[in-house]
Amino acid sequence: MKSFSYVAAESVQRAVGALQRAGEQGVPVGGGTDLVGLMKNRVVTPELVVDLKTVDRLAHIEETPEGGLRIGAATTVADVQYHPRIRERFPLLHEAASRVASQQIRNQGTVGGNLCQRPRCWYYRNPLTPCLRRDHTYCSAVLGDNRYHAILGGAGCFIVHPSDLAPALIALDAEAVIEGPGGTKRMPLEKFFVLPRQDLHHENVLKPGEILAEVVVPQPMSSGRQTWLKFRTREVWDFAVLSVACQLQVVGTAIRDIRLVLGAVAPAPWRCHTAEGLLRGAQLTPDVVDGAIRAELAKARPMTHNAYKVELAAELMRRAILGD
Amino acid sequence: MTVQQEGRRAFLTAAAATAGSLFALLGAVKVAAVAETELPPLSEGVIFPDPSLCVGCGACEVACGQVHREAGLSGVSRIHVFAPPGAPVGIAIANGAQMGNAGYLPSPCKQCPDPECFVVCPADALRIDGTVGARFIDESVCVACGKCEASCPFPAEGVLAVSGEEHSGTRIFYDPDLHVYTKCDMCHWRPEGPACVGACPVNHSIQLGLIESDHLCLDIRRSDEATYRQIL
Repeated sequence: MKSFSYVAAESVQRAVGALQRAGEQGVPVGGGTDLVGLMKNRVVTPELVVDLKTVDRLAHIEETPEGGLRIGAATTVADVQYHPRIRERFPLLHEAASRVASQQIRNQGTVGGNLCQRPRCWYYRNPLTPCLRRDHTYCSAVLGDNRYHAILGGAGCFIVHPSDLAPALIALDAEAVIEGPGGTKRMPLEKFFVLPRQDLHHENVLKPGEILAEVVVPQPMSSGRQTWLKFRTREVWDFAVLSVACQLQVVGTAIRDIRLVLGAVAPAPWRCHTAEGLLRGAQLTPDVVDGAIRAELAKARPMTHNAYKVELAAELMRRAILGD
Repeated sequence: MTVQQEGRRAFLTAAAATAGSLFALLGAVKVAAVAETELPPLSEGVIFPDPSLCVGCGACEVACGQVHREAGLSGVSRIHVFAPPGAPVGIAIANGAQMGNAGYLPSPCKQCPDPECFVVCPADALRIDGTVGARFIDESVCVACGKCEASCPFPAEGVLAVSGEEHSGTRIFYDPDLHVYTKCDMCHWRPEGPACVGACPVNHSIQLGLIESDHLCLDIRRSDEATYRQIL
């Protein structure tokens, strides 16, 4: 591992200041479960690592007066997993947190780190293989082994966003709170992530000196059904081959509201706007659901080895919406 | 950017002057004293795509947008790849079939010898780079009137491979965020050359001998009449 300087930040302001001074050479760290591996493999070689776990008041889960949640970026995934109010009122988030990696990693890894983790693409993670995202050469996955790569939103680069919490939080309509040199910014978590055509080298909107400080989750849909499904190649623990997060509100037999998000299908969590638009106000029947899913996946551009993900996505979406 | 640039107005003014005053006025090294009817100097190179080799990955588009964004210019891609709806990425190669089955069509600017866009711009924003002769739009001058886009005789129409959206226009593209028009400038400020050519994975596979071809998917050809006519 290349040597680096370490700052245990005591406050958000100090963390932001240190990162701003370091520019592109500075990175924040939470639990380090992703960053340390990247540094060991020299995929990233920062000169400064700023520890956010030492920041006062960045690890918290608070209930808001409106019935929502504020989750600090340095909160561990395990704390989310075992929080009684989350288990009770946000089962979607509880399920997603419970399926993140292994218990040891959940004890160490943070919410901010899970949302900001780098891609698992084997070409990105191997410094010996060309990668358009990492070393600005070309994407090895296009003509290589792309069995786990993107079927939606890929262009030039075909990583999938590996976070389990991101689809769940977007389905819950969460907002990201960003701290930076310009102060505090708040944006829908969906807008926090970017596709390659917006930024080829980053997965989110964070600029040097900015950190994800908090996630704010509003009150869930009243009488809504929340579902989280994750498909992985082995049951013990693994990254998602594909995941679905769904928050659904049904009145009688009609869908009043729905938020449907796919994980691990695109370089960013994929909000199914087309399907949602077709389902909102429609009857909750298998035919209607199948039509909406087909319309959403008509945009899919499978690669040479991952066409199965289109079928997998359709089946998991169907189960999530119909509750089978 | 340190390259020399010539606008249409400057070019025509210079053409009417003597060679000596022209060099004094512009400091340009490529423009000789020419009659007003003469054409601007040819671009030294032009992006030459072979649709039969394209696998529709969109690397050319995103690399184009990225390098221009990083240079402080519009991040809209100057090259667009059109595709039949639902065309999978790279299937032609994967099936071992003759390439080109997927029907992708990259549509770059042809760097016309006699560019219409150069003539119609009321703001003198169309420029010719003094180093490689690339025709480009000076975005700091562009007034977004759209005359260049309308004057371009070459259509760029169909379903965009990357976004899946319908597009109907020409080889000049509008950036609604910056309110400017853009076109291929051959990345004339980059020592490495056009970003799209460097990012194309098929190009690299050809260069590594993994795909047999005597030319690249996105090549840089000399901008002459024969090349101009061959570009789709």
